[in-house]
Amino acid sequence: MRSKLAWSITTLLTAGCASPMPQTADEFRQMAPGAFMVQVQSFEVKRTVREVGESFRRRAPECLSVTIRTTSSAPGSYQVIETRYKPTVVASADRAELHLQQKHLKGVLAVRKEPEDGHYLFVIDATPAGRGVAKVQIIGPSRGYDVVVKAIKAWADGSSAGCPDMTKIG
Amino acid sequence: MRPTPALGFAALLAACAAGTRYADLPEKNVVVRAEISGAQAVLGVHAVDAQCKLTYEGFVALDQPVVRVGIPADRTSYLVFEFATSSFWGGRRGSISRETLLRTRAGSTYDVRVTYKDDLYDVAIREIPARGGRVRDVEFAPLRACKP
Repeated sequence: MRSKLAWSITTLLTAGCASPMPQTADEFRQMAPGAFMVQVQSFEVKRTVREVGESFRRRAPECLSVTIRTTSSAPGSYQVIETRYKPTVVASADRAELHLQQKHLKGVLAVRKEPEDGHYLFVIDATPAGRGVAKVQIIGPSRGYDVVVKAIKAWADGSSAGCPDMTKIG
Repeated sequence: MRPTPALGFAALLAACAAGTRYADLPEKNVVVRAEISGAQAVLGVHAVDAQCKLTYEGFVALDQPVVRVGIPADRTSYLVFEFATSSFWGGRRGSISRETLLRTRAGSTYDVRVTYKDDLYDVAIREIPARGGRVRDVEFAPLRACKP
């Protein structure tokens, strides 16, 4: 059930009804806000952008470079979905970015042309917001990916370095 | 949907190469401190030979707050920390793991912290040398880092 929900959300997010699929993080920033089932969250953390970027750089490759296989069964149905995630971190002294792409390898058809490493699922930006304070903006799905958002917030504010259990997506 | 530990554990054992328990050594050089909530966790132990070939030696259930394990010293092992969850009503199962190569040195002990809480997991390993040497955090090394 949850996989189907994730599939539906992802499909809606990435296929869209009329607009083309974002091919870059920048296009995603422009197109995603306001789209159906997309959420933009902003918050401040008492850390410098450099520290936030360092957390992203340390945790994202370890935690988010994964391929996940999920199976769901219910009376009359059985579904296997294999999904690969690819994080990209771009960090400097005054800006930190984390992009997360998602590519379905099995179980879900891509209905529109997507970037080679999959469609953009999340784009997170951290920018300075005062002395020792960073503003973090998360653009991503409004449902089904709470565990990813939870981990990213924890990395950003330094409260946890834990990896999200990506099998809980959906 | 609440995870069902019994089902998760069964699934995890099934995934652990026919559920072979690790034949422990009397000298416990690895101390695993586990804080697990909402999942079941096991440690899979593999021996790594000079050609980087793995031999599965079994699993250790991380079902106690502190689990002491004896792993042969002066050899490279491949440790797989695996977390399994399941939901009964959704018929959904999942497992996710954290792996590393570890070269255990004679005389050293290894303090391993394994956590799974609120759907976030983490594994950290510290090497504590014999005779009061400097404690160091062990960098995780993927299997591809092994060179024959």
